[in-house]
Amino acid sequence: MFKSMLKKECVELAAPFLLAVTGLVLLVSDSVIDSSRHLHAKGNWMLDEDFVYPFLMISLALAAIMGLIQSLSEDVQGTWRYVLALPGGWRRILSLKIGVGAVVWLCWGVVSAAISGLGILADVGPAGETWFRLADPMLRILVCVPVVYCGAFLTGLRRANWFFSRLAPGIGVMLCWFILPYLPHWWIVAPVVTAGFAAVLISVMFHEASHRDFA
Amino acid sequence: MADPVNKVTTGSSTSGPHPVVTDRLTKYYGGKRVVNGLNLTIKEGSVYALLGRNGAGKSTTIKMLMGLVHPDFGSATVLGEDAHHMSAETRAQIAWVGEGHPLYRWMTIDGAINFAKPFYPVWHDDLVEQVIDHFKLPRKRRLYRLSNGQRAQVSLALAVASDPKLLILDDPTIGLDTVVRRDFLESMIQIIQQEGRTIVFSSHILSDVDRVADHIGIMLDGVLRVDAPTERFRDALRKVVIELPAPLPKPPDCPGLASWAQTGSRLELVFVDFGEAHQSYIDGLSPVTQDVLELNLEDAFVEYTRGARGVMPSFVREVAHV
Repeated sequence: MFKSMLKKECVELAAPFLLAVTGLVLLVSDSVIDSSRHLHAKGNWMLDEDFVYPFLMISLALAAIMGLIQSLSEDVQGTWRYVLALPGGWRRILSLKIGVGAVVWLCWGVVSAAISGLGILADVGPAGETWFRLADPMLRILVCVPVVYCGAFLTGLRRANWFFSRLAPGIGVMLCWFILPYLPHWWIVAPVVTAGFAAVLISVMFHEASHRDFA
Repeated sequence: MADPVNKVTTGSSTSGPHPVVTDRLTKYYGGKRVVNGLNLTIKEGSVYALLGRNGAGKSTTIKMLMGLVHPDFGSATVLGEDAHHMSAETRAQIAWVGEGHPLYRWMTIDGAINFAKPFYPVWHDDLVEQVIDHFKLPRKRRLYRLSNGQRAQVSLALAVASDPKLLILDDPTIGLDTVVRRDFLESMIQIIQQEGRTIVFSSHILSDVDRVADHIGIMLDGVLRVDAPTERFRDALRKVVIELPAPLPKPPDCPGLASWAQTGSRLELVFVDFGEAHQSYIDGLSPVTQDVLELNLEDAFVEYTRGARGVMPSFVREVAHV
C-alpha cells in the first residue's frame, strides 16, 4: 500500500521536485567561483556565500508547493472521495501522504548536499572556515523547512474560505519559520522546536481531516 | 425531522441481515437541512435505487454511508459498522463508484489497477480482466484520454475486483449515452449480483432504475418519502383525467392526491393507491368523461415529486420488505 501511494505521490511531486533540482544545479553553477582569484590557491573551487539566500528560497518554495500539491490536488482532481473510499481509511492515507512528503524531503536534503558538496567540498585546504559559513545556514534551512511543508499541507487540507481561515496555517507557520533558524544554540534548539512544531501541525492535520467533509 | 406519517414506505422488516441501516441521519449545509432524519434499511441481496430531484440529498446520503461526510445527527451503519469508523476489513468489502468517476486521470488503466490493488486484501484479477476484455478497454491509455463511458467502465472494473459484498454507486451513469449506460448497468448486475451481494445506487435516469432496481427510495428536500419495491410504487400511482362541465373554482382537495393540473375544463389528478374514496370524490365533481391511466416509473416519479410538499400523500405501511 505504501509503495503504491509512494509511487502515485512521487509522480505528482516529480515536476516541482525536478524544477527545484534544476534550480539548485543552476544556482550551484552560478555560485561556484574560482577561488584561485580570491585565495591565490590554484585549482580550488568554492561556493559563493550568496548561494545561501537563493537556496533558502528554493527550499521554501519546494516545501510549500509539495504540501499544497499533496493536499489541494486531491480537491482539484476530485479524488479525495476515491482515495478515501479505498480500504486504507483516511488515517492511513493521510499518514502515507505525510510519510511520502518526509521521504521526498530527505531526498531533497541528499540532493542538496550532493550538489552543493560539489562546490563546497572542493574547497579543501585554505578555506575550511568558508565551508562552515555555508554548511551552517544550509543545515538550518533543511532542518526548519519541513514546518513550512506541514503548514502548506494544512492550508490545502482545510475547506474553509481562502480569505483568512484557510491561509492562516500557512501564514502562521511562515512567520514562525523565519524566527526558527535564528534561535540561539540552534543545533540543539531548532531540531527540537521544529520536531515539536511539526508534531503539533500534524496532529492539527489529523483533527482537521477527521472533522472535514470530503464532499 | 422526518414526518413518518407523510412518508411512502413499505416499512422495513427488522429481521435478516441489513448491510445498510441509517437512524435519523441528518446533515446540514450552511443552515439548510439537506438530509432530514433519514431512516433507511436495505436488505441484503437487494438492488436499491435512491432517487430524487437535484439537491434532494441523495449524494450527501451516499457520502455519509461511505464515511466521507459527517452526519450532524443520527447514524449510518454499513455492514454492521459505524460508517465513519469503519475498519479496513469492512471497507475492503465495499466498492464505491462516484459521480463523474473520480480517478487519477494521469494514470493509465494498468496504472490505476496497480495503484488500487495493494489496498485490498483480496483482489480478483480475473474479474478485472473480464470487464476490461468485455469493454475492449485500451490498458496502456491514460484515463484523461478515455471517453466518459470508458472511464465509467474502468471504475466498474476497479469496483468489482475486490468482489465486494456491497456496491455503492453515486449516479454512475450520468453523462453516458444510452448504449453505454445500458451496457454498464447490465454488466454491473451480471458481475456483482450474486447470492448475498447488495447494490445501492443513486440515479436520475428512471428507465435505468426501472430495469435494475428491485427497491426504490425517493428523497424530497432531504426527507425519504418513498421506501418501497419498485413495482409497488409504480403500481400505486394512477392518473385520472376527467373532463368537467366547467373549470374547478378552487384547487382539488382529496386525501391521497399527489399532484394535479387543470387546463380549461380538463383536470388531471394523480392519486396514491387509487380507490373507492377517490372515485367518490371524482363522482362528486360530476365529470363528463373519465380515464384512469397507469404510469411508468418515470411518470410516477415526476407526478409524485412535483406535487406540493406540504400535502404529500402517504402509502399504507406494509409489513414485508421484499
